[in-house]
Amino acid sequence: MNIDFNRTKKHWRRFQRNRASVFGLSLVVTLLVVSTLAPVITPYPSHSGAFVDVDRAYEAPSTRHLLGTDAVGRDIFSRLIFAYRTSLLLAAVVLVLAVPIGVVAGLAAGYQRGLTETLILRVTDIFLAIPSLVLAMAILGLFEPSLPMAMVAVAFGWWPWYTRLVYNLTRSIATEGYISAARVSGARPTRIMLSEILPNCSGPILTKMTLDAGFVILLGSSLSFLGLGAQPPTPDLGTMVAQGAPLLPDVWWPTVSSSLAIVIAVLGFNLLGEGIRDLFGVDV
Amino acid sequence: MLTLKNVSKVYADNTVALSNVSFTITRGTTLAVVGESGSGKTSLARLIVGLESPSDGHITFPGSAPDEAHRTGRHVQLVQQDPYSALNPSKTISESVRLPLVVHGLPNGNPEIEKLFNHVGLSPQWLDRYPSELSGGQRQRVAIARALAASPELVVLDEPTSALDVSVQAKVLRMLVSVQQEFGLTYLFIAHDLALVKSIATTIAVLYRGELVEIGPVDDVFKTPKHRYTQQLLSSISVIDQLDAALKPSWPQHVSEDVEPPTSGCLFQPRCPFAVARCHAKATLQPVGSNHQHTCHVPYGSS
Amino acid sequence: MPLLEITGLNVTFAGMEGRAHTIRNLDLSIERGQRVALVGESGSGKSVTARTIMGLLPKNRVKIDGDIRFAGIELNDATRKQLLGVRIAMVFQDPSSTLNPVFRIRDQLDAIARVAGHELDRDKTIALLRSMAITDPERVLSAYPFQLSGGMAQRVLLSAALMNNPELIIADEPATALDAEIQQRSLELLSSASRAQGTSVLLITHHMGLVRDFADIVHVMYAGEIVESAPVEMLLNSPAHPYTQLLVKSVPRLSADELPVGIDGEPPDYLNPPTGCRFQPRCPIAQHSCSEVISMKILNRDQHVRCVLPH
Repeated sequence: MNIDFNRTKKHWRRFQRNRASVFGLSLVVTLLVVSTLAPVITPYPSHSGAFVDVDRAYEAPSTRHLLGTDAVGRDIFSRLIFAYRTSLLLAAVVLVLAVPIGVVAGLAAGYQRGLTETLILRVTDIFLAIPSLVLAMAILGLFEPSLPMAMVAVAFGWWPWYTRLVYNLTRSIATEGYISAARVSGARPTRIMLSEILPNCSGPILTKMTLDAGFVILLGSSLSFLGLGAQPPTPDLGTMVAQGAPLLPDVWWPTVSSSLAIVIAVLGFNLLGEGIRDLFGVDV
Repeated sequence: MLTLKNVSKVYADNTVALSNVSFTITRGTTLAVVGESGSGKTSLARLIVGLESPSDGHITFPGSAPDEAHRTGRHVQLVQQDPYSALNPSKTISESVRLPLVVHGLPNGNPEIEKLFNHVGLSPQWLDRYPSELSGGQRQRVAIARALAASPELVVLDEPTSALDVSVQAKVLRMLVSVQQEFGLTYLFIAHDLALVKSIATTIAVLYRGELVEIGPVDDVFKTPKHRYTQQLLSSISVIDQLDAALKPSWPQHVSEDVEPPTSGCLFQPRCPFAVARCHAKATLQPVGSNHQHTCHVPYGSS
Repeated sequence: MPLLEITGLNVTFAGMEGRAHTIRNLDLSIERGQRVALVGESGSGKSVTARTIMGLLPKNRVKIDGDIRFAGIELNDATRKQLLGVRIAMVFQDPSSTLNPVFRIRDQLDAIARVAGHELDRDKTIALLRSMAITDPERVLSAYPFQLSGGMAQRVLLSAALMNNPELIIADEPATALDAEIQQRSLELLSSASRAQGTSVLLITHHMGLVRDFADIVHVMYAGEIVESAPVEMLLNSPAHPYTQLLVKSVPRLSADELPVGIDGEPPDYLNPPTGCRFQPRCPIAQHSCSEVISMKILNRDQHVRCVLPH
């Protein structure tokens, strides 16, 4: 695939004009960089594991502990950075699992039509009818809750959205002249779906993935809030909200800071996603 | 070259697009197919290039069994009407043009593509550009280059220039004619502009509501049209001078309403001011002159 | 006083890549009862001109200089609100995108009547539809747009345009999306109706045949300028501007055995237009003096040409 640098520059210039999107981009990039470098840049990297210092428990935010400490004396700020790792990893894995399945199903349903289309669409409808949180909880109820299981559970409920998106796109693209031209030239359906149709879906898919990242993080946090995600002592945003909840309102810093951390992540991805959507002029 | 025998096409919702159409195209010639929307000309194109299959009848290429082999894309190719939909916006021009070559495992490097560009009058500067950078006329040239890439024998052109400006259309048509002569191609040219048809076609076939109502050498049909629908079509040609105006038949001032098709006989009856009782009889092709046939019961020029 | 008078119109679009000086020094006038055609190929600026008159250009990226007057009234946002739909009516290209699919025809016509400040007069409307060769007006009134054929929908649009007895109808590529026969028919109806009421018509098109049949005066646009104006017979029989000559020669003819030749080259980039004649790069008889700004010359009484070498 050719990368045309003129086009990329043009896209960047257009993207730049929207201040909110640039802000979103910087938030996301910051989160990515910071969480990758977590062991190096956090003040108390060891607090991300099994660390206990009961004397330092419930310390309010100070210069030593920017966001205070939690019930067992761990630095909340450091744990949040590590928790971002968990969340971003969750988002990445969920999308890596859900998107290819959803996209391929959507292409097949939209291009092949007939029985394939009916089957895929009905299965998609069934999945879409169940709220993602409920579906994830149901799946997790069958197994030992853990981070990997949570990823699978969320991905299970996520792929149908991509199927629907790509199905609609494929239906309309399939009527274009260049698709008939490809068929007349002898191209096989697989080539047409992957090489002619799919590249024209990249804008909407990318937009949706970016917007979804935030929502996956939110969903993952909800699951771990309920104790169904990453298990202690792994730092996790939802778990930290849950652990801090009974301490409110006096010891406010654990819950408030982890909640805000979730908000920041979702906000960043949303703003970035909207910027990407505007860039592609997409209707997602 | 290409033979259609009793070809019919009925769609899933029971609309009849084509009904019992038969004709032959001689190699190296251009057959123009004309008719208004609903005449079936687009369905005809799609059937011939293999995008759809006939509900009835056969489409045969010489050297192949009826209905087979022409779907591979090497015997027949297609150029469509809308240049803005003809090219994949996410692929460069050269990627679009080389597709037929890639699919058939033929040499598809830049030299081959540049040669094709040369034939259609495109500068090699467009090789790595995207369709959004090209005008309508240029895009259509690209579509033609792509159609010619795998050396087809028959090219179906579905109103290839109707979306283009008149000054560009003339150049593209000239290019099509010279390419035809150079490669010995056969053209099936679906047209809306009949004045154009006269300059470019060898034979003309007139379709009305899915039926072939007249077919013959273009000069004969233009000079002495037989079917009343052909007469109406010719009379409605838009002309810009007296000379042309004198060359087309007249048509009475008649209010053609959208009506139900008749239950028997000629489908044109409801719109025909000359229809008589015998028009209820089944329409069959009658010969008149050499290679000229029509299905009219009250042909133009008689009584 | 002309019914519509455009003086010194200049339209510039500001985009990411620069400023495109699209319409340059355009003068155009339409008298009462006159049928004027604005002819040009794609990118010539004829649609931009029509949209400027109608006020349909986006405000933030477009700079419009010049004067547009209707019956002496300057056209601006306020005056357009009162004039459009009442004294100035528009007919567009494609009935399927102009008619609202979720409302019945009578409701849509009623909405148009209300723009002029009164309700739908059923009898008058039925008579109008009949005059547009619609044989079953009652059925059409209670129908939805999808229940009508293309030709019928087009005639409904024409009726809508004529309903409030406008003084000027602007037809922008009318019925281009439909069959040639339907297009011809709708223009015939428009022409005779406008003749009967003394309505002026501004026909915007690229189709020379329609111009011959339905216009009195023709203005030829190229690259944002009017390059020639003349009565229609004069323009088609003895065009003066090299572009018009080549354009007329490009139209396929029944009387010709060969295909027309067409015009080499591409229209200029509006971001960097030539200072003088914009047709110069493609003109077979271009000379040095063509690089200077050229104004409209009066060739003979009714024919005006923007060229240094009229012949």
